[in-house]
Amino acid sequence: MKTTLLLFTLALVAHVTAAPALANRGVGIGEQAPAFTLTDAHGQTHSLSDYSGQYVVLEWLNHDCPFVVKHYNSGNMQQLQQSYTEKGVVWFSVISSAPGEQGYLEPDEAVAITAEKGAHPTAVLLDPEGTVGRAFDARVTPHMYIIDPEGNLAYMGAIDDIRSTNVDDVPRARNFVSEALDLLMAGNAVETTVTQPYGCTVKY
Amino acid sequence: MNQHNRGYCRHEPCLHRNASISTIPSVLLLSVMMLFVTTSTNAQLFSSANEEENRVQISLVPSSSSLYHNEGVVWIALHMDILDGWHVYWRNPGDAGLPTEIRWQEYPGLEPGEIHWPVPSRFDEDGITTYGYSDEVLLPVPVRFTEASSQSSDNTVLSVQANWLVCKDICIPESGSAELRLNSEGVFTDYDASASARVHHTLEHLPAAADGWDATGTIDGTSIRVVMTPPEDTNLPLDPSTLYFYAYDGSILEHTAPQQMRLDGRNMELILPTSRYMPSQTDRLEGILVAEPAREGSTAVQALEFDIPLSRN
Repeated sequence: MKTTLLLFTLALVAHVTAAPALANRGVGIGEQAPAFTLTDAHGQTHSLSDYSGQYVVLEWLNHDCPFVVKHYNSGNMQQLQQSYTEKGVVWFSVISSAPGEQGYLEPDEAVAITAEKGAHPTAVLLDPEGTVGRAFDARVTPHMYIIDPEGNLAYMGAIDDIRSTNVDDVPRARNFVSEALDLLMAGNAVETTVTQPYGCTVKY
Repeated sequence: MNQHNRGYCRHEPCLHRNASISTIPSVLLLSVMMLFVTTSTNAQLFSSANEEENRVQISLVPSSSSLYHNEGVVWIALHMDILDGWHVYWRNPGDAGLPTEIRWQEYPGLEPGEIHWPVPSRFDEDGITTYGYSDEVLLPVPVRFTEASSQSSDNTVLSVQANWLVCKDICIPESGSAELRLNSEGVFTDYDASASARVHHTLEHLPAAADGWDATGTIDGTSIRVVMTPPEDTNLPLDPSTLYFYAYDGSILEHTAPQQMRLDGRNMELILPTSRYMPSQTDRLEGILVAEPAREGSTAVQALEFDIPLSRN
């Protein structure tokens, strides 16, 4: 023990360095979500403000990320999209991969893969410059956000509580997104508004 | 049999019951088959069916030549040989990724413990920070053995199945198996003294308990202020710029943010920016304080493990 401590201190030299201050990234729960306008895979533009009065879900998407594959191969993501869009929720799958990076899709490719996967988002939004991804500080796929009808952030984080790429974990996981949406739509407060997201890095 | 059934099940309730009995297992079987199909499609897409094609090659390395070298415990390390440019993850992978997982095949009298994680490296990618290992790493596990394990026959095999996520610009889940063979005396038949020496080197460089240190933290706005008082014999002052605190729980600290370390008399002060994802009930900060090598090419890394009680301002 003594040796370790000695080595620990010997490895160090004397002087003090100040680290640069941390720039605040993203927005917090209850704060106004960043305004955005993006074009979807069909060429239609969507602004967040167009959906004022509705719940909006943002799902960061990269179809080649194994964590995303888990939720699409199990049918989990499609089922969430279908069930909540039927209840009037606006669901945007956002692709922030830069051109040439994994997960980047040309509009026609995005249309094709959405059909192939049987996905049911309101729209697949294309964010090749990563502007919206960075505004929300989206770091992983799938990184999930819920925006309330007043435009405030109501949930951010992981899709569920089992950090894995294993399809078998989907049915035994606690899904934070459906839990939060159900509580919100029933007029209740969300218990878990923030969880650490898991996934692959967003390929900005 | 058919004739008998037909005769017996002439009545509707019987036919109905018969139908239910045969339908339920088919549905179950179908579900199981579908699950299997889904899983194998996954495997084909995202990990190589052939372990030789994996980006990470694994093997098991014992710390001694025999099971009975030390009293009741032998360290067995999972060696991960990682393809250039790729990395695997620490226990807290940071902003993305997944820690490596080892599953031991059951063997009478052997009780494998948890991985003792060596000090990780930091990987920064587009403003996203992850913690892990590149090139190669040995993940040591203390394995206890009891009397029962001494009754081994010749060619006993200890085997593990490991699962890991390996990433470069993309991530791939891989898995592999590795084994160690033992003879009836509990001697590892493929024992390699130089490989074993590297396990010892890894063990010697594992984070040590911060004995004699006093550390408390305060959650203050968007950071945790930790005050550490080292033991009397510690040779202060230190160069705080070489220090980095790696938290075990990935939801507490902001991995991308620079940490500030400064000296205040005999105390050391750490300002650790918190994550937006820190749970509100957080009351401890467990992790390792690492003195990272200051010079290029230096491999001297020392780490101390802390469990810091937190209060709120």
